[in-house]
Amino acid sequence: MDNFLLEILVEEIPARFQGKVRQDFEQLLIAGLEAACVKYDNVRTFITPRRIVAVAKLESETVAFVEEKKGPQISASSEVINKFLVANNISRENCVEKEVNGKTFLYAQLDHASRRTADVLPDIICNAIRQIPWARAMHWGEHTFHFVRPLRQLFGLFNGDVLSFSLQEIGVSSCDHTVGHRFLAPQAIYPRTPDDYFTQIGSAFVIVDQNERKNKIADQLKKISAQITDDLLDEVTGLVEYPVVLVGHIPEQYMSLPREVIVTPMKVHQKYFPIVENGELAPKFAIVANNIAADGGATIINGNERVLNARLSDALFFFDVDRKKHLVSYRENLRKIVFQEQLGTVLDRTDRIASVCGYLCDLIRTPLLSSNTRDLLVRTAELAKCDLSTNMVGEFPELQGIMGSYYAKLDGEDQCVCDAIRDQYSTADDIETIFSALYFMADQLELIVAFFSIGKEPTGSKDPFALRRAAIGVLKIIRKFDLSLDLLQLVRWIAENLFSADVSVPVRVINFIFDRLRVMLKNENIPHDIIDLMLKRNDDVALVCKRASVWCRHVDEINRWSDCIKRIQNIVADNVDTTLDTALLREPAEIDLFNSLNSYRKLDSTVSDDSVTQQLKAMIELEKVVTVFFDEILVNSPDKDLRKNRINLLTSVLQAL
Amino acid sequence: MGLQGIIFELQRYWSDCGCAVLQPYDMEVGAGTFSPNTFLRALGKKPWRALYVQPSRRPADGRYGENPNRVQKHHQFQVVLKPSPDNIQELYLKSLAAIGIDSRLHDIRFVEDDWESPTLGAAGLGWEVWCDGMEITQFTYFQQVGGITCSPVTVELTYGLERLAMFLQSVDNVYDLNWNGREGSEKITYGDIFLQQEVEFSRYSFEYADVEKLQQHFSDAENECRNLLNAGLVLPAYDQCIKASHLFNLMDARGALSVAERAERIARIRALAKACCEAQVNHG
Repeated sequence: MDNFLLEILVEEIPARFQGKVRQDFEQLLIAGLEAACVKYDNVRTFITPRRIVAVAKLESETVAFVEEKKGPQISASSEVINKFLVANNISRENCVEKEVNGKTFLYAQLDHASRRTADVLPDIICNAIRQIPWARAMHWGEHTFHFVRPLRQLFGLFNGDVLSFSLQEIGVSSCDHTVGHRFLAPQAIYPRTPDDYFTQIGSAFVIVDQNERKNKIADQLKKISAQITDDLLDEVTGLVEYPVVLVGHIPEQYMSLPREVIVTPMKVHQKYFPIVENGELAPKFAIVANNIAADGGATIINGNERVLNARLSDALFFFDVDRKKHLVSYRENLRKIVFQEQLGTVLDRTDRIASVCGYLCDLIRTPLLSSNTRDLLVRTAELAKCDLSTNMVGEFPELQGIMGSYYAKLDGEDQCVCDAIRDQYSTADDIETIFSALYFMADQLELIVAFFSIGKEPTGSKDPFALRRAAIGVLKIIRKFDLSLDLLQLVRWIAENLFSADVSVPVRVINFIFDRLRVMLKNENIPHDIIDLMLKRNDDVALVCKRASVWCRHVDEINRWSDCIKRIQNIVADNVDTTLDTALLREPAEIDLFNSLNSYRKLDSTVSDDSVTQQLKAMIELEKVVTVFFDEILVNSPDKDLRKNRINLLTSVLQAL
Repeated sequence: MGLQGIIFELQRYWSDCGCAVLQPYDMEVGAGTFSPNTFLRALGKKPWRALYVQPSRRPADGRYGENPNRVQKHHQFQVVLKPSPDNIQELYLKSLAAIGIDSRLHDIRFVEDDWESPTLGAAGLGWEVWCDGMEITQFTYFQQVGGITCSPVTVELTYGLERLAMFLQSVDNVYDLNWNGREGSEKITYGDIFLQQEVEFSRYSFEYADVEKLQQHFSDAENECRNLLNAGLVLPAYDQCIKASHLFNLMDARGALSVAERAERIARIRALAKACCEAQVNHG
């Protein structure tokens, strides 16, 4: 096989697109090779900010093949048949007849002779380039062709020769050279084989292989104990062709700032890596530069230090100004921040969340709360949004919650309050304490009911207030902490007391939340019969989820149980009377049922794996007893009292379940 | 090099690249892009190459002259080229060399930054150019202006002059910038020229701007814009659109707009900008 190499030179490709485009391009190239019957081996692709590179081993000639092309029916007019023959440049002898569904068609046998791979490569390359799907593409100059950024140069090699091809729509023809690093080796280089290319481009300060670049950065960072986060490492790998790690220093005066205040501008704004020594944030940071500077990097370090210092000096100023008042005194400013026209100010919202917290404490059946939980939750609600009007959050919005938490701590607030202030912007997965979980849930439920109450519920793909995410958050919290409560009751209370919402709102909210739950349980492979059954009968999400996960292992029993319930329902109809005259229980089967029912009622009803498993076992037992009951007892007894007593017994069973 | 020296060098450089050297647009604008010499010229087929310094007002950025990095009126050096030349990145990098940024000593990076102006209904793709971690230029290929697809494409380079000068002069406080490049008693600093302006305009924007009057002026500008468009006067109409935009920025700085009201006014300005663009296309 012969060596193939392609390099597409582009103006800087955004880092976040690079991973996908490399994969897409590789697949497109392979698809093109296959379609043209070029045998290939070892196709590899690479990407840097400025280039997309592909190498492969290719057979020098394509595989000859016969294409069978369906034509008209043999019964078609000679005019139609002739047209088909002429269009394919064949005669009648080149065709075969084949029967399809009782009709006979003409099939052309088209010979595709073997071609030189070098002749078919230009089309394969250009089509692959044209077909790359971009999340965001642009046009430039006078062209309408779209690409991620302007495509500037093409270079291809096959079997030691320079390939000649051109992307006519932008007037770019392949050339006989490429260029090295933009600053370190901008002159042309003339490789003629892939090996030659990698050697020469490497000497020209371009590490083409993204993994090699990434490892090189990671190795250098590890040596100086920089804290590596994968996202940032990937992004930085996509910003450089030749990484050089440099270390800058942070003046001691800024190190008293909260860790996040130092690290956020570092990572988010400047793409630096923090350095941690002995578990402490060191007064240093790692820069990944794209240049070996003539002065060893002194100028680059100095420039970067000045940028970070300017940001930290702002931060320190804001911190000092913010700290002149207690966090709670920023609360008054929330009156000026409109949350939403119809929903009032952020201050109004915090009052509502405080009310939800209070009611939530009444409602919750989970025995994990201490006596002052309610007061502390209400305090959290009071403080949670205060940092929105501090200078620091005004300047660094991504520090919302984090600053509030720090300021609350400095004011001597309870630790769980401080944590909950921070956790309100976290995800359900990251929340670790039940206190934070309760506050988070109150906040998110208020949000959902608020927007439903003014008719701004999500429709189709439109969910501008991220209510779906809020609903999923609530569900995850309930499940994670087994928060047993009647969700409908809670939602109804919020809607009625805090929004004087339309009566339909609570049910719409619950349906909305349960739709998310349905999807969630479905993704956990729980059969939808069971999901339907669960959601029909209970508004305690924690119980629903626990049951669903236990029940899904007993589908047959559940189905029998479900049939049994239906059977009882048919007999009971609309009876709600459950008064029993035990003296009238005569037959063994009805006495058995009575006893089984009583022991079922005594089961622990808390939400835990154990109790739910016990309940299920008892249910399965109960179903058996009911079945025996139906087999042996005539409910429709001619004796009126007996009949009434038996129906009431079945009604009791139904209600217990 | 004084700040004015940077202007001279950039003017000389881009003038040699065939750009018309224009003077600032004589209205209050939030950015050089608002000038009709960028915005309206980005429409239509006619080639265009121009440069100008544009004093740009952002009332909300006022800090009473107390913040070393932020001012309510800063200077943008704006270069527009239509169609975007194939070697525009090289041209740009040479312009940095012209003002003394030696690419062998610095770390110059093109970092993704897509630009979108909701008030202008305009969008472009490009980068912010970093020099040693400092953003020194916005580099944008216009894709759409006033909702109309740009063809050919205009490339816009916006150098933030204060930042660039602070970087080049190694100055940490904008008010310490050397403006005229002289030393000793002949030196004129940024603070000498602009400190009073920063203090007084901050007070105006945050404390004294009369919201009711601003709202009235906004409506007046909006009506005037529509009337002028009906009369087929594109440029005068567009001036009114610019005016409405600045009045909006003042109201915003004054904290007079709720979230919904803000969105609604932005939509109104965008409608004006769009109407002006459509009129310009029909005109050309």
